[in-house]
Amino acid sequence: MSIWKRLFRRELKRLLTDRRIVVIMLAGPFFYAFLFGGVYWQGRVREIPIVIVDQDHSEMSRDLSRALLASENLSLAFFGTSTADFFEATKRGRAYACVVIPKDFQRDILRGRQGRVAVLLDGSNILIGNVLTRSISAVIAAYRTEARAPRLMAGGVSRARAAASAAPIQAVVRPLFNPASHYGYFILAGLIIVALQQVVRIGAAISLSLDAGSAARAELARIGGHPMTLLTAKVAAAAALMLPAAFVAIRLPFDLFGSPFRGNWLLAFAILTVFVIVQILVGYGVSGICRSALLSLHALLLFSVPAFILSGFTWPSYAMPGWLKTLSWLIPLTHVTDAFRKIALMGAGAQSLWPQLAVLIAWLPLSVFWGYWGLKRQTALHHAS
Amino acid sequence: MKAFRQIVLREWRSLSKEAGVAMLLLAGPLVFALVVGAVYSPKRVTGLPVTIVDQDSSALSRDLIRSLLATEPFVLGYYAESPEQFRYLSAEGRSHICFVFPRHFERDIKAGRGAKVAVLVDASNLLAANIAVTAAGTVLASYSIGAQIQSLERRGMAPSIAGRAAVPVIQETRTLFNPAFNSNYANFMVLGLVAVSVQLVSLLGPIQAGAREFGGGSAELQGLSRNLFVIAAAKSAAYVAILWPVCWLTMHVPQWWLGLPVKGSEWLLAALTLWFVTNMVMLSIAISALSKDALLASEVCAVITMPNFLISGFTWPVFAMPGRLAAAAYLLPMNPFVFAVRKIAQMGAGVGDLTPELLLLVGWSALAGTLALAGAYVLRRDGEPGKAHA
Repeated sequence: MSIWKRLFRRELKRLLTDRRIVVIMLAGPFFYAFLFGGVYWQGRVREIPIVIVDQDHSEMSRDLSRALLASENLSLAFFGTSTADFFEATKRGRAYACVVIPKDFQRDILRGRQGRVAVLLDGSNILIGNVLTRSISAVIAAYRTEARAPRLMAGGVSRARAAASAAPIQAVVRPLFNPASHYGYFILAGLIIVALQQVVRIGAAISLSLDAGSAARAELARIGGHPMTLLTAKVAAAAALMLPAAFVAIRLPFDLFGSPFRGNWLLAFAILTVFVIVQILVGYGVSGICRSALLSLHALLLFSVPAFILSGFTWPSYAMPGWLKTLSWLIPLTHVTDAFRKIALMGAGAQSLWPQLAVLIAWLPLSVFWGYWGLKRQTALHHAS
Repeated sequence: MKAFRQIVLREWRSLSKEAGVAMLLLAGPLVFALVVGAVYSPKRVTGLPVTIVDQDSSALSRDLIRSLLATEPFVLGYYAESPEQFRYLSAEGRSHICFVFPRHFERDIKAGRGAKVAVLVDASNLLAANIAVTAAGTVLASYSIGAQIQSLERRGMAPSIAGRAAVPVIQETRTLFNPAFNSNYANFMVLGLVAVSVQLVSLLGPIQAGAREFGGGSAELQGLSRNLFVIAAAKSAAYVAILWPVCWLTMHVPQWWLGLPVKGSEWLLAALTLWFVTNMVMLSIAISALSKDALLASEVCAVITMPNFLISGFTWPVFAMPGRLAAAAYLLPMNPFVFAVRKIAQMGAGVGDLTPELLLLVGWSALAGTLALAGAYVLRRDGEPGKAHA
């Protein structure tokens, strides 16, 4: 049996018999895929509780209240008597917006004066605030048109003309690639890729740290071979274990949670394969820097969230300051999450993804160099024996 | 008291021998806060490249295009011949929103027929799409009202009456707690993310406190004290004394650097940070002692921490999660802390407004304290003469 095959079998056996690594590398991706999928299952924030303060108690104010509560995004927390009720409720998380319909609302409109509606929003969670702004504004805009059209019709204008006159410019918004604005479609694949990055790096770093022990070093010296042979055998064994789990985990949001996938799975898997191999090598590199499994684990955990934020997956890279934009562009996570989103939601092909593919491929020699350095440092193998 | 002090000093000596871990845990949260703060430092999404498809090429369409491009988040990306081109541009990440002005746009409006502007949005990034749609909606709505008023004036209506007739219902929106609202993500995200690093460092910092005692240390520990409470309290105090200032400093990096407001009491925020750090330190010591292996204990902490931010309800609200997950989200250790921090910093909340969070923190203190005592018991048992390894 060749040295490479012996090293490959040894590594595979070690990975499969170390419960810690098996749990991290095999169970980890599924755990996170199910967890994140469960969180974003609903996909949209619906039935956000609001307070309505109706100080007019008129036909029109009741109509407006009914229209607000008919929106699927809004639900009634309670009818309040003043905005103080809302201030109290919002600090306790019982309501996120308050619509105040003042006294004489109906009288003012009927007399040709403007009726005012005050909307108080809890802006501390932008995600909820965005849904509220859009939903409340849409209801009030529709109500405004309804309130104006009958008056024009009373003046002898046709219904169509009255409607056109009430809203001369209509914005017809068409969200492409994620028409239902489903939060899960937007975020799930990216989160699973981040989790994959984390478990692959941690698993690889721990497995290499275990090779730094004197018994493992002696065993490796007995088997012999060039450090590069050991590196390729270790990477191949880790990839053989990790890739099937990664493929299944990344498909879960699409197969189980109904996220649309409009692109080519082969292209997606090819990108994921390169990414996983790069991350195994980065894990070895981190292990080489930290020297111990514990320190590697702590370092990888501490920098996982900043890496995700830097990837531009949620906060876009183009809105970051210049130097961070460059840093964001340099890390592989940015390009893999971006490529996956484009393949899945936009149906993009390889020709649209060449910048992402170029950076990812450039990372291959870099990570080989880094991983090789880490492996030599940890195993103290320097030459063929 | 003497035993307490000796255990604290012993713990610090051990920590000083693990310089790499100690450095990482002391510097890590600050680097974390700096990176996260830097990402959100522009506070707004600006420079969203816009594609314009002007099939009317009229004075009115050009005027409206100028208004759109004068709006903060937008910059001109491309003029395109058809909306189809936008699909390619957005797939390549070169444009994120497209406005299509159809033929006869101006003529239809002047004839009182009304006209439609198609707004195509790349919704693959919901965050950018939300900002784009809100900004576009504001410009188009105000332009639409302007057009109504002009139309009514042309029919002979006085300008003041035309204004009221065009907008029979005025919506006055006041955003509380985050006045810049949609445009200020720093206020919304940074404190929550920094809280993740506070939790992580409070769990990982003491992760060797229990595990390192096996193999001889526990006998020495027992020589100092056999009181479970003293062992657990002294070990916790040694780490809290180091971690609390680091965490407090980390929590204030965004405030000093990005000018994020802390509307409530600084003392309350500091006390709450101390409480949370203490809970996490006790939990970590317990996990470390019960698992007897620092690496395994770190992995357990990683499982607790990694998904914690996402399912804490800080971004995606708990009420929008499926039932069981919603219950789990309330029971996560970070949940009461991030919500209390947000309430204090953004809403100016006082103790009276934090009842649910404080109750959850009390629950976590009871649990972590009990587990820390269990960990101390395991250490004491390991240090008994028959079982001592040294």
